[in-house]
Amino acid sequence: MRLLKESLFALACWTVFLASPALATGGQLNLPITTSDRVSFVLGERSHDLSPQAVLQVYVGASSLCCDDKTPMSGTYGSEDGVVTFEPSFEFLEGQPYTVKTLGREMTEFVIAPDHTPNPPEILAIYPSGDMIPENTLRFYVQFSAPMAPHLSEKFIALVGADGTPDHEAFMSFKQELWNADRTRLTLLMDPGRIKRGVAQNVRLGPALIQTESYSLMVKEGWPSARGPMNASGFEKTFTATLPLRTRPTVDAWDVALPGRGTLDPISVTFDRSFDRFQTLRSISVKLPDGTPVEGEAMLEKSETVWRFVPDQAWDAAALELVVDSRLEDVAGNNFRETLDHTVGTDTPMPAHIVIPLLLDEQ
Amino acid sequence: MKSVTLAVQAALLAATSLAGAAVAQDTNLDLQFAGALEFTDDGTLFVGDNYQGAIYAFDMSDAVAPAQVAPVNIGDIDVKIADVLGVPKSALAINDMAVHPISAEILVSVTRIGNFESAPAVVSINQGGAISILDLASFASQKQMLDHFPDQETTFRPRGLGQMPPLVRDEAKGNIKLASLAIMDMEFHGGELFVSGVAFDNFLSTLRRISYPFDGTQEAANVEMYHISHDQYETRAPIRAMSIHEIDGKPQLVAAYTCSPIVLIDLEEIVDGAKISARTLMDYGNGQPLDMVSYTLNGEETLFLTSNSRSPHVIPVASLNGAKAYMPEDFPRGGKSDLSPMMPVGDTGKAVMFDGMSMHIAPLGENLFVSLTRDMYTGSLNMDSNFNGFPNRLHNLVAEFDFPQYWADK
Repeated sequence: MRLLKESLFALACWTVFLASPALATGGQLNLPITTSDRVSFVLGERSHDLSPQAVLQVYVGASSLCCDDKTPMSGTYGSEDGVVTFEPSFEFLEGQPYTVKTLGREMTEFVIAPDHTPNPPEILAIYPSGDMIPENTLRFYVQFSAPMAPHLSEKFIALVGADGTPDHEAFMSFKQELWNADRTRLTLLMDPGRIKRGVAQNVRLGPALIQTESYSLMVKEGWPSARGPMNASGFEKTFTATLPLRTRPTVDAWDVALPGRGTLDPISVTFDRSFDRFQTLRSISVKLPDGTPVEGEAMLEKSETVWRFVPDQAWDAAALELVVDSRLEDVAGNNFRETLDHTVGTDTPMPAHIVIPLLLDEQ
Repeated sequence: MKSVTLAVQAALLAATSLAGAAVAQDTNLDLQFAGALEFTDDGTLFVGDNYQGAIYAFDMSDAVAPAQVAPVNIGDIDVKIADVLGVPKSALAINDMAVHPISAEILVSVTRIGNFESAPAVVSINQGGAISILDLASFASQKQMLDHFPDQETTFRPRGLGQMPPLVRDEAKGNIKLASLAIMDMEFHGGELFVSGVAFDNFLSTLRRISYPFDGTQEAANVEMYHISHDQYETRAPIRAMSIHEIDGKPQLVAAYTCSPIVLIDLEEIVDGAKISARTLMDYGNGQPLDMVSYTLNGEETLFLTSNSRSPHVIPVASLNGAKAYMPEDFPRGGKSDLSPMMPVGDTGKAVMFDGMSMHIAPLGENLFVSLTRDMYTGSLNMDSNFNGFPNRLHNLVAEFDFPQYWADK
């Protein structure tokens, strides 16, 4: 995109040559191509004494309405070697007509065209990202590259068995789809009635996923983006169902690898199972013993079985705490307090946060 | 917006001269929203940032007073501010207005919307009427983060009107975050900044007091008041506009709420963690207050209270001395709208003429008010400066005096 714009600039008709014979103050006006560009004017020979504001001013609106009784846009002027530049205090708006008044008389209108050639939306990933996932997996996430049009998931998404038969009752159907705030991530909730043993849907239809069998989560081509006519291409995630996960997770089963003090190496936690990706990214944090969070970046790897945290600044304190929200769920919806599929009254009392003390050695 | 007793002013001067020396430069000016504005008498500007939950202080004390404060009148002020910001007026939201106590520059805090983003700006209109963007980074500044800032997700619950279903614009209220009410009004008094708004995770009406220069200390107290027209105690809806005055011999905060009670709060009651029961002195009934400005009218300390749906109210401060505090037992049960024979309750002021609607109003010098006024007939937004004893333009009014024959007969 950037290349395209630069080549346009090199070729283009955006340079306007002005000649005012009466004043003999011709010059060359360069108009902005993108919203963050400046306006510049190359002065003719005899107009170097003018103030920058007398050389050029930019006004909001069409040239036919300019510029009596109008206040010019605020911005910063520069003047060097016969070139006057104007950088607006705020970026120009796409689609808004502006008028440049040069040398106090010439009016030149310009519009920065809205960027109509964005990349079409893409499906970046479907989570869980592993190709072997428990048969009682509770949620799938579809991650798009751009905001998408809502209310189309049932039309475009299907869970298909190895024999090509779609299962139209695999996912919960809500009035409202489960999107994140900017509508780039859709949560698909497997019908818990199919997962929980002995409840009506489970008895009538059986589980949606059966261990050792293969499935495809298919997203058909053509899902429109929220902002325009661009459609996403298709996406297919193939996986095999494995043994169900029906135990509560416990941090005792985690393997924690610690960095040395003074380094920027990550803390690395290897889980015994795959956890829910987006819950994990907000449910585990590194804190000082007084509760101050350590700033840094958390990431998940290896099919959401490894959590790594790289600090913004080299590790300083020796004593740290890994704090885990006990409501964090594995991919099958089991949290540290209870399994998804449990008998009533068997919850295990558990504090809101599980704290794992960490002690870093000198490098 | 200052109280006027001499003792208080002396304390204020002592505190603010100290302030000028101690303001620290904040190297990272990351203002995200320019909302409520308030000046100290010596020219420190406070800006409320409801996105971050922060208040900025800018030392603008290096200012020159004009020989005489002149009225500033600018038609289509929103178009002209938008011109300076490089956007059409539909991409401009006006948030607040304040006047520099020394230079008489008029500052307007705005939000500029464009290219899928919003950006804050404070626009300055000088005594000559020139409009420019205030370069906030050029002033020494301090930033104070607010404790107990409410969450940024919860939104209003839309409602219709009685049995009528909600309209599209009623539903749109459901997109507005409750945190937009976190900083409603600010008052500087005796070296402290008083801030009204909602706070805590359950969005309680809260008054904060923060000493200035900011030293990290702040206190937050919840405020409850008996709302006569709603016939209930209210703990959430925040104070919309307020002013601090000596009443019954002690400094008290006069506060205006939506629908439209006026209450008093003793400053001594505003301590960290307190649950304050405000005293309800008046209730006009329906309407939403906008600004409460303090000025001198006929030698008397006076309040001018504007509303988005009622005539402005002029209240002599002295009339609040010894005023009765109303309680539920003073009334029969049930809501009371404007039309109830019991309303208004306790009103010691006067509703006065105001042509059009004042979106924001502030004293300009000793004798003028400057107002951003919506014209009733054209819908234009104009900056008008008028004598504070009669803050009106007359172009929409046709009276006996507009007939040439009237003058011919004179």
